[in-house]
Amino acid sequence: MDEERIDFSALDPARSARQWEARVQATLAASQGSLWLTLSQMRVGVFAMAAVAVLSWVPALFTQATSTTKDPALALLQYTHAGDVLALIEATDGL
Amino acid sequence: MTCPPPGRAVEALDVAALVQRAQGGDRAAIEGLVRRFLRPAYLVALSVVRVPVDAEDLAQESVAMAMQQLERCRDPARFAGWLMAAVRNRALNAVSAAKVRTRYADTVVQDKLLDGDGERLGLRRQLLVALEVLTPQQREVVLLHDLESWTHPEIAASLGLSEVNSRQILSVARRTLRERLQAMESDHG
Repeated sequence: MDEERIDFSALDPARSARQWEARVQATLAASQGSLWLTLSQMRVGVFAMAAVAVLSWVPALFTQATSTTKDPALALLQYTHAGDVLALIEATDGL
Repeated sequence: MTCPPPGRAVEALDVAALVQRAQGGDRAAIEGLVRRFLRPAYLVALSVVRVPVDAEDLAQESVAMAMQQLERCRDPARFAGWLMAAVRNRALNAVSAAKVRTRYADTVVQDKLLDGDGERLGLRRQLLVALEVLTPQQREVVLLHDLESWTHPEIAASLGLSEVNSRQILSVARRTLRERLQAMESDHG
């Protein structure tokens, strides 16, 4: 077995310390370009966006619920069921 | 199976811990990984493309990309192998896409532009020419072992070889290189 190392130091880029440090810094800068988009942080972002979507839907649900009480057909049904003749006449006049 | 020396075992643990911290977004850990693995990445790229300037660019791109995709490294203890495989693939893609200048003349021109030290330039040129006689795998083993001081277990893990195979490849690569370097010296002498 050949146990003696070959001297490859002429091929070592780190021999030029200043140039190599510049290379390291360039690599670090390129690495940090999208670090904020690591998967764990993306999960938090997706969760936050989902929460906003759900919250923005709540007022729409509430509006829809209140608007159904103003539905003329439902109102007529309610007045009929309650025997409120006056309200029934007013409502049918409006139609 | 041989055990790695204690110092190396501690170092392997350090790397796994660094990777875990880096996966959590620790900037200091990321810098630690870049500083520790940029040069091995350069040597792996050099083994494939054989042009130092291109190897430096490929190493930089590969390491930066790996840092951005650290979540994909599921086993931090095998980070080195994961990273070196990425470097190797990137370098092979660059070669197959003909993005790399493989002609020796181009290497010499690049070296003249970057390096004013004549003696070192001569040595560097000689080594690059001599390395041409080896296979990419032989180049990777001999460079990682003799320049980066990686152990055979580390090289074996990086290349997917057995340790015995790594030792055999190193021995053959050294012998072939020495013969080539001696032939070159006698040609010039």
